[in-house]
Amino acid sequence: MADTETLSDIVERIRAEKFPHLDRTLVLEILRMHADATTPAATLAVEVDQAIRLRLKKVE
Amino acid sequence: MLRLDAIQLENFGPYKGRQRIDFPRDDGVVIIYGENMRGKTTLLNALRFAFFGKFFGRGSKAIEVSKIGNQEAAEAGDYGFEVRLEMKHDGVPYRLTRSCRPIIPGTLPTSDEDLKVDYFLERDGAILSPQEAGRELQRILPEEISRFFLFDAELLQEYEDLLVGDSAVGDRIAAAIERILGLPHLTRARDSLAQAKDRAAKLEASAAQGNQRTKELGSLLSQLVAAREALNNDLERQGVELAAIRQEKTFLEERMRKNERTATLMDSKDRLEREKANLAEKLEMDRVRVKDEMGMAWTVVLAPRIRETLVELKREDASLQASVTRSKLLSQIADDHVTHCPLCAQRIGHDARQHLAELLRDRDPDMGKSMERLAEISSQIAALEKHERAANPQVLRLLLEGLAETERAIHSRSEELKDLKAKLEDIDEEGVRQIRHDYERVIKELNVLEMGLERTQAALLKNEADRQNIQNKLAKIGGGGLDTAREHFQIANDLFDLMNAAVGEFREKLRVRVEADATRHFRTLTTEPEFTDLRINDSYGLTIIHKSGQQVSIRSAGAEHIVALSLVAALQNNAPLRGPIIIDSPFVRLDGGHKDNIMQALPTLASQVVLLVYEDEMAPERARRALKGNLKAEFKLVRRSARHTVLTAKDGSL
Repeated sequence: MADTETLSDIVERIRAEKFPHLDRTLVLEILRMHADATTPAATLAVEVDQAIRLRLKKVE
Repeated sequence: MLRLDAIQLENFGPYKGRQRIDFPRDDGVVIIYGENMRGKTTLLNALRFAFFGKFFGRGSKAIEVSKIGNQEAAEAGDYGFEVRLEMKHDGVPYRLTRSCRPIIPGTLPTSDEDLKVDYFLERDGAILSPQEAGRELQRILPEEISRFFLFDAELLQEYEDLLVGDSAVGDRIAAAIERILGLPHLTRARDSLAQAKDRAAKLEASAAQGNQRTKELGSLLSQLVAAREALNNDLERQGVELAAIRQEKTFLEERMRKNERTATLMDSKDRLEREKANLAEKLEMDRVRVKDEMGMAWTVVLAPRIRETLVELKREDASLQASVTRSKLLSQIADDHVTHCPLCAQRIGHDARQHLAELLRDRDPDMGKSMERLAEISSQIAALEKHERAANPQVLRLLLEGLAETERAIHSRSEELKDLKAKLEDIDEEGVRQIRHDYERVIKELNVLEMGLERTQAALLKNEADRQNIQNKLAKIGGGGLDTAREHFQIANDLFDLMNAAVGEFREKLRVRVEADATRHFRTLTTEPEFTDLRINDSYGLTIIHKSGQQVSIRSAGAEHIVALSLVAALQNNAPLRGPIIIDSPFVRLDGGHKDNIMQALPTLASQVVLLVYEDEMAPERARRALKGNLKAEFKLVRRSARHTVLTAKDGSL
């Protein structure tokens, strides 16, 4: 494990190792959504559910 | 990266009128010299006020805004004050102005209710809306992490609490550390995905209830989802209550520390009062005993006669006892059944037996009298012995001495109590007792809350297992909308597990990095070469390690500052949020060697460092020698009057 590994590097490594079936862009999208501490919880809830639904449609 | 360009004060504390410092554009250290009461801490507070609208006094207590304005200006009819900061964040210029004005212009404010605090933020010349400004400020410098940028010796001392478990201050600092290191980004994502899981389970329950084959399982799942929602609400409430009670505990501990001397005096007073009451009780009992003994004291006069009579009676008693014993023996020998003498073992002949019978016949009347006399003597001896004991003056003397000793002890306690009461005269004893009482209550409440929280967490785990069980059954049946809902849940669940694993790994990685960086800084700051490492605990508390590998368990206040500065420097190295460090009087408890080391290390702590010191704490020559080219500017706080300070360049040119 490189010492310069960033937060998103760690998330991506764990995704690739343990959750390869999860879409990489979905994971990054989820991380991006939570970057701003001031985003209201209700907005986040809508955005997270929508991102997952979109992923389901893509799979279909 | 945040960088301060200028600060402008208007009637803020001792800074009368409008005064301004333009900070150098180059990286390095700025020193502002000021003697006590000139306004060094006020300058630190001016930054706090500008960013967060707060002003701290000693002990990190918030000060009312009505007390912040310049008094000379107020006397001249100029009420209110203002702080303006010019800064750059990631290269973008910002201007933050926070002011405090009387609600009715021109009137003297007497309390905070007469004043209105307002602020506005300009970004690249454009004024931001209040909502946007709030968000932007939170992004530039969140209040929760301000302690790593704006601090004094008192705040550095608090880092010691990171080594103590169950400390509200320690918990708050640990949370701030994780905040500056960027961990909340991941924990926010994880917590939000936990909620997404619950919403997905609700959808799955609805889908299952719509299908005849899965209706029953759907209802069960729906009940579990509703129960989970209630448990989560409980957990949130309990978390808030626990944080509040921990804060109250810290507050009460602080008050107890401040009242420690009074509490010790009160304990001594209580103890003395108890001892005095016990002694008074003992005195009363001893007095009763003395009274009893005094009642028999007359017997002392008869003591010699009693002793003589006792000797005579005991002699007579012995003689009679011998005679009675002899008669009993003869009577035994005279008995026909005894063939041999029990003393000499000779055979008892007929003649001898005859002789004994005659002898006994003659003695019989004497025998009866002797027995009566023996009983009489025994009773007389018992009565006289009782009087002989009572006639012992030694017992009475000891009792009287004890009585005097007890009276002396009571007097001594009374005198001590008088002194203690004088010391406690102006002290609110009831208030101190109330603090103790409150502390005991808080400890009880804390235990109850912690147990309640554990129960809720256990209930949530059980709920999760039950939900998983039903979801597995539903997955086997499947069909239609249920499959989509199930898949939605599965993705939310996997995303949650992923973020949860990332939180654990990231946290561990941060601890390793902070420990390594703090150790690196510590080695340059400490003057003790045998202290080679710092070891981090789960709460980011740092322990000094001796070269032998042993922990240094007791450390001085100076060492505490060195460790805290090492931690702050390590956090700056590892934080996504970086900015200037403004330090107020950090050298108070440090020797020359440590001062030099810190001065030399300051430029490595942050790209912009502002140091507020008095000249005896850090001599200008010493600072210049240590910093060399890294010293970018020197300012001085000059006294005009007790309530008026002027900011000037050190050489007086400003």
